[in-house]
Amino acid sequence: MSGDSVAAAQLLMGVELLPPWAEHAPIDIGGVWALYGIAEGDRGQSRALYLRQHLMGDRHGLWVGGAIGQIDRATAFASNAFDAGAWITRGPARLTAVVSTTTSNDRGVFVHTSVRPKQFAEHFRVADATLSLEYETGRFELQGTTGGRMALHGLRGSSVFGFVSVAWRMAQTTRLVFSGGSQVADPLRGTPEWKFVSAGIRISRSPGVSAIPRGPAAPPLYAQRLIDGRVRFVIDAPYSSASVEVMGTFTDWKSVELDLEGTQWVVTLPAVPGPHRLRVRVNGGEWRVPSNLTVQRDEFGARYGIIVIP
Amino acid sequence: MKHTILRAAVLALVIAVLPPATGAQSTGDPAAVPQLKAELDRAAKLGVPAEFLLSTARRGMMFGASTNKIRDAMRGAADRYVTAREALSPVQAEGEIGAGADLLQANVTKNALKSLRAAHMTRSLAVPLGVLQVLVSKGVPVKQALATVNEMLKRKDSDTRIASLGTDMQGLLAQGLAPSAAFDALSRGVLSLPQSPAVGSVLAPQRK
Repeated sequence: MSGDSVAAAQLLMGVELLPPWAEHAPIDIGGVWALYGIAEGDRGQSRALYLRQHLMGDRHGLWVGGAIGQIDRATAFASNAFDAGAWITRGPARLTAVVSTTTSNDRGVFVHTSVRPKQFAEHFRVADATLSLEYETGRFELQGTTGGRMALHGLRGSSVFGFVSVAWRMAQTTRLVFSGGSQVADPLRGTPEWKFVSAGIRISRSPGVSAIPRGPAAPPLYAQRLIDGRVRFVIDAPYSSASVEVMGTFTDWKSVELDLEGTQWVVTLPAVPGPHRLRVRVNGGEWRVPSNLTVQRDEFGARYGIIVIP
Repeated sequence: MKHTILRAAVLALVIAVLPPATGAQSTGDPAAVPQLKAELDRAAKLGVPAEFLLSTARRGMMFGASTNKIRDAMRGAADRYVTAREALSPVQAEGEIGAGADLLQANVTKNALKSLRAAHMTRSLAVPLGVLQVLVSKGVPVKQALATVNEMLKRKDSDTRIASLGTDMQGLLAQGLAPSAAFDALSRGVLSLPQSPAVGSVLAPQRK
């Protein structure tokens, strides 16, 4: 729920699907359905469909995408948008930059905004640029976003915006999210330019999986030879994870589950001294290479990590 | 417009749940596939352990590779095993031949393996070969990597010390150093240290 300067309220519901088979080039498919009512009488609903093609490296990636949307008020309005973005991660932090352009014939959404419709214009286009910094620490995920909008067609003016959000990981599948700041009008969803404070609950089917791909690297893995000759493997996955698995040359490429000991995910296995290939999986997601290991591709094109165990 | 969005949403949902078109098999026993069984039989005549090839086959099956591709990979693995076994003879420890075969796959020559064995006849080379694999895959020239590992072996550095060369290299690369610069720094640092006494088998991993 949110309010803007003309006392509007709306309900947003979204769903995002991440097909599991494309490790380096996953596709985001999402949809949003919004209902809104404005105190002065305008009510309506909007629907938008999003598609993004990602290309991901270990710690960086980029995407291109598009969206189409329709807003039903007294009249139906259509919008489309194209965006391109890039991101880079360093440890628990991620920086994302996005540029996009949106085209719409919805004059009403731009009224009462800093980017105003020109007289007699019927079609409108804007360009947006956004910079976002995310940081994860313990049970909290912090995000700060700032950006600007420029009129391209049918509008005049420009605006800047910014907002912050804090997500608290209450449980393995549930996050409580608090946000606040300002946001530009969104022709795809029919939301006006607004200052907002919001609270929401995010529920995911797979615990601990980010809704946005964060790259192919899995949490780091460490190995320690014990006195009895076996090797203790430790994976630095969040302790709130539902499951952590490893497979490699020392497991005959069969998946082995790790146990949570305190805040560490651990398994002890026999492994001969020398190099071992392995992959790790968290919460039943994709098999990935731990971020601290050397990556190699085998003769099948699959990526795996190498660890040399003394 | 309404119908267009609805159709697009249905199409997207179908694409999302459709299973990928992949190779001929994804699970099962490699030995049960006739072409792969033939490769196992061929390799057995060459003295290659079945488990060595089955590991390759299982990887291929997991990745959804075609039977032909798995068969070719098994054949390549068997040939590399034989070459590594010859180069590293007399083999001192389990894991040496596999490590040597991996290095051959990384385009390190048989002669490089032979020279290392010749210089260190009685010591297990499994860990040094593994570290060589890490260094070469990170872009360190083979000659340079071989020289440093060889020097550490001559100084009788422990497997732990040699293994840390690969780990430290990874750390320096993560900080943005070019492979040659990172390795130069490491080599100077490692080779300037006094020789260490033999380290016990209980080790503490160095977390960054």
